[in-house]
Amino acid sequence: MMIEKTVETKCDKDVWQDFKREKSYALSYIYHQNIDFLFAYGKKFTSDEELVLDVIQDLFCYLIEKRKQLGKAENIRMYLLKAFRRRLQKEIGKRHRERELNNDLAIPTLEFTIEEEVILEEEVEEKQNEIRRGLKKMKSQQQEALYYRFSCGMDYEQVSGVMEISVVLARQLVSRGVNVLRKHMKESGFIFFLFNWKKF
Amino acid sequence: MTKNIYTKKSVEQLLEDDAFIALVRGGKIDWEEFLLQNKDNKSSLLEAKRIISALQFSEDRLGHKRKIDLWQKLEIVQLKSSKRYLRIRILQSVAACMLFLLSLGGGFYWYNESMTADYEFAANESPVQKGKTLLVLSTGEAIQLKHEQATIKVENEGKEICIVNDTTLKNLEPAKIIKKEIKLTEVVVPFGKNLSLTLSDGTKVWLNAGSRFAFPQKFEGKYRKVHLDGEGYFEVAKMKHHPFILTSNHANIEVLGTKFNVSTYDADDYSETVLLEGSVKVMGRNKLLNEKVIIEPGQSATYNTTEKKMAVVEIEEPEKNIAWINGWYEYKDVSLDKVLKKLERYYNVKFIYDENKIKKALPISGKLDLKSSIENVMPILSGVTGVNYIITSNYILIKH
Repeated sequence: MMIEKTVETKCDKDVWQDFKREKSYALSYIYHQNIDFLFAYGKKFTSDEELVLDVIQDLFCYLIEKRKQLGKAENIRMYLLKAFRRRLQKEIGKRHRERELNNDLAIPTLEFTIEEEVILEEEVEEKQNEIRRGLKKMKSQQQEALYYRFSCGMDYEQVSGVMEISVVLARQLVSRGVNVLRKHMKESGFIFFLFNWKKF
Repeated sequence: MTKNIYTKKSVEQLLEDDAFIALVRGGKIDWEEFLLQNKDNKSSLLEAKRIISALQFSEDRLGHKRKIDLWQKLEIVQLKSSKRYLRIRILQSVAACMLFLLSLGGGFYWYNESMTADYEFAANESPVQKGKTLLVLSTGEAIQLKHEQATIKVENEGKEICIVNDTTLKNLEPAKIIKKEIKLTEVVVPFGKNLSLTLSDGTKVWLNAGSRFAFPQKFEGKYRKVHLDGEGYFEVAKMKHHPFILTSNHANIEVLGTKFNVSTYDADDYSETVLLEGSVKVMGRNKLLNEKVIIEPGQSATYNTTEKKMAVVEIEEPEKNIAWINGWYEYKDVSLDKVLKKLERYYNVKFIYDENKIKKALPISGKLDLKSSIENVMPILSGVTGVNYIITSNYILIKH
């Protein structure tokens, strides 16, 4: 899961142009380069795989049909990610309203969870699992910002662009998220220490 | 090189540093070495590194098949939106006929101690779309056959399997009985290929494209049992005391000695048996009703697995049903979707169409030379049925 800044950008611009000019390889390239990422990313907002796939399909259909009118894309993945997030948000909101008829004014915020349940991966050291558990203590927006910053390697401008918030707020979300994690690490580290200390 | 940059930074500063994040995400550096070089700042580096690596997750993956399915849908969208989209006009001619033949499928199932469990193919690649014709021995060894139209004979009372014009596999021990289950030999005939086969009792079998067939190298016990997913024409050697039983996932057929054609593809929802000589008992695989019919030469029995219904009809020229053995198809009043499915198997092509619309199309009749290419066949089909089509490298899109 990479958002490469330097290497792919130049190339992306050309691929995008080719896509707009209906060169047939471009769609295939764009789809196959990004489908895994979009699917995994979508799953962070909902566990409903069909919904994620529907939105991906709608997004691509839109791109194909409107390709002549589309703007430039310096970074295709960023472009797709933003467009996809917006559509997903709309769709989840729509379904939510359909379920809760009496509450049709409330627009739910996009719920982002890095992992539903923290899976204890054997190859990940215990301390890292401890850090992941700390994610549960923070707001969805903070988790989302941390995900873009550290899992995807985005800079703050990109984070703010995707989340449609200011750069200042993006920075705040990340730094508060980091503080929660560090605090959690210290607490659990201390408990860990006490627990082991008794043994001696 | 990394030394000076990182010695003085706090955890917060490290987490603000794009290059440091990239370093951890890249996972390509030797951390022990790195921490040693920067040992003055070891604890901050370690903490920052832990936080970043804890946020690298294994991601949910989309299965290959779904990825491809979605891609195919998008390709069609792209095709439709493209200016280069070919529109082939159709002549609404009533006359011409196309066709091919359809073997009648019959469902049959012999549900007693002689045929209990379903057979599972060892070669379980179900849509046998690609590659060469395969012979899978009871030992599990798979042999690729070189010819498009291969011929195999089991000889010497099951001790030898001979691939005509190829190699003879000698001294094959007859299948061993393991846990009372006899391991069968299998052949897999991909789309676009066919095969003829002589079994150890002298029964001759022709297998059409896209079929899998399992048979014992040597028949033992009271019943001669074989299993089919696909279409085959059988000339069963007469053995009064050893009924020949063909099982499939839709229906079973029991015969003594006879000639019949059966089309019983797992992928279809019916099994159609046409009898040319002798008599056969066809049994739909509906365990509750155990529907069975005995048909006579010139009749066909079709068992529909969705509706769980058996239909017997008279066929005017039953030998047309086995025309495929000689490379052509002849069909009369056959639905378009059946014709398309046959063509898919024979030519190893994929049609994409709206099933509901296709099912409403009028039945068609005709004759089709399977030796001519799909490019020649499609204009004729289009002329008869009035559908538009687009041939691409991966599939043929049918439009209404």
